[in-house]
Amino acid sequence: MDPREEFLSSTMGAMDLVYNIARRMVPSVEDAQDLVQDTYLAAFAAWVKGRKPARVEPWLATICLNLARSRYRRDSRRPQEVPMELAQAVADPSDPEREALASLDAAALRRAMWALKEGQRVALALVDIAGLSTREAAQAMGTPRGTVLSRLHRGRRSLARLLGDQVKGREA
Amino acid sequence: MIGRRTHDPERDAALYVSGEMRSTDRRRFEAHLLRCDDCWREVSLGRDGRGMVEASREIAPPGLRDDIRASISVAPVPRRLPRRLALVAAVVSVLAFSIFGAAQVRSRHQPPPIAAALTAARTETLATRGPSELPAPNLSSQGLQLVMGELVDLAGLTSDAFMYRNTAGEAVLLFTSAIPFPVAHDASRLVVGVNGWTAQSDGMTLVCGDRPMNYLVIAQDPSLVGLVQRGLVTEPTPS
Repeated sequence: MDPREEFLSSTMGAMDLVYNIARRMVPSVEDAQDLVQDTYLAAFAAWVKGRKPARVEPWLATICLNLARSRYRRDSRRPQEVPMELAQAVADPSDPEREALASLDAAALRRAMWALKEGQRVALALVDIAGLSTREAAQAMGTPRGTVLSRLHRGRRSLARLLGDQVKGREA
Repeated sequence: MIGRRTHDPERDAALYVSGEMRSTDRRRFEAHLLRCDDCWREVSLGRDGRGMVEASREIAPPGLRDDIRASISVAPVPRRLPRRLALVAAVVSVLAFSIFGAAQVRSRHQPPPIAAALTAARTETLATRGPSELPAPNLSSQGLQLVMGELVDLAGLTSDAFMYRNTAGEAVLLFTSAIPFPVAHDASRLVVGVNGWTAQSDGMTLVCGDRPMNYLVIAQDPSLVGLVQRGLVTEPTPS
């Protein structure tokens, strides 16, 4: 099998996951897309050198985080302002709580996410969005698992406090 | 109190809401929740927050998939040797092994802790006895990110093992121990700075020293070993 096809068929299923991590590492859509492409190129370079992990998701997440930290931050390319693009949220009409959450102002949700400390935002992206276990997230972030658990909970709690009134208002 | 651990509402709420509690712990925690206002509040907030994060999930722009495919289609792939050349290389390898193989096999007869560390480095897996309780040296200034910190048993030698990766995903392992590591077979003494040795074994480079702690560094790429050594000397601060 052609190594390019082998790589793409093994990794493209994780592209949304990588994109969501990238969106929480760099605020603009364009930078996030660049970061995803760079992640795939770096992963491919390692792939053809023989590195083929059993689970590609934590591997791609680690590369994405490392690239974001080492390149985007060092180059000071990260804008300070929070972008206002709207995230697409999918509502499940059978679940009123989920519907209320989904109808949250997406811009407010993004602002709240970016108001969190970076470590909390990344932990939330890896575990609650990308579906990594906290142990895998700890490996990707290069921190002890206990730190990830703490960041995860504090991030969730901050969001709940920041946006809780909106959700309650819509549920009522 | 959950199990034998101390009462920690944040940690327990994080584990519970993430669905990572073992069933016995989960049942015990659910019983505890009914009696503990702190844990009840933390779980409620954690669950609400998780729902909000999930609602913020985005779908990648449709063109991104095509962009990645296009990038990969022009990315360089190391060329394979032509079949005839590959055959010649294979014959040369067999001859080389028949001449030097015995010596190489002998060089693999390392002291058990060194052999165990080499296996961990080769397979990039750590047979863990639990998480390391030591702060990991921060080697980010050397471009290395910590990916794992575990307490391991190297054939009877207890060690804290830390795995780092560079941005290309290449791994380097740092083992530390309260007890000095045995000297590898065919090792050469380090010349400056620390009491220690360096060796080559199974395609890996090993460096062992005693400052700022007893350490053993192993990687396939010798430059990664050098980065860790430099990092230990210049920035022995925890991550």
